[in-house]
Amino acid sequence: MKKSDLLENFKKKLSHISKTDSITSFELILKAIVESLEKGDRLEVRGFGSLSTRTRKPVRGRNPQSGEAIELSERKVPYFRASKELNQKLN
Amino acid sequence: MSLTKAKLVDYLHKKMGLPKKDCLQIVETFFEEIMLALERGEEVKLPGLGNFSVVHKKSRPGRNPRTGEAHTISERNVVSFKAGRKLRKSL
Repeated sequence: MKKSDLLENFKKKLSHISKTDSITSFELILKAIVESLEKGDRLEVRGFGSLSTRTRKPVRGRNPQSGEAIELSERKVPYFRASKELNQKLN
Repeated sequence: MSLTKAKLVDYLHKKMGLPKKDCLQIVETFFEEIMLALERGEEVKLPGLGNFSVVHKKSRPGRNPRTGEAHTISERNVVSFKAGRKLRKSL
């Protein structure tokens, strides 16, 4: 399911909201989520789950092709934890 | 401060000038649609953010960490989130 499919369902469910408004809103929600993660803030939605960032420690890695050792610096990775409700629905 | 549904609604309301009632409906539809797709077992691709997918986990032996008792963890479906390249970079 791509963004275009989601938008298609959006239009059907939100028939009283104009097409442009629902598209812009969709983009704004995505933007707000990304910006919040970039700031280090988490997204928390009841029933859905939460998206947060976790810090990975620096590790000494290796280029698998050349065998060269490289230092992978400390980095943040996004982490999603599904809500109990969502997990239940999937099982 | 974590990003919540209420904050997303306020944000949309301010940016779009739509009635709060509509904004709430948009935000709820957004997360609902993602969940519905996951329930159908579909992968959801959100550009700029990442992909949500459902992964089936086979049953495996586990242990109660407190008592050390051995038992089986039943098979289950879990949501996996993989961040997009753009988001990983910006973090």
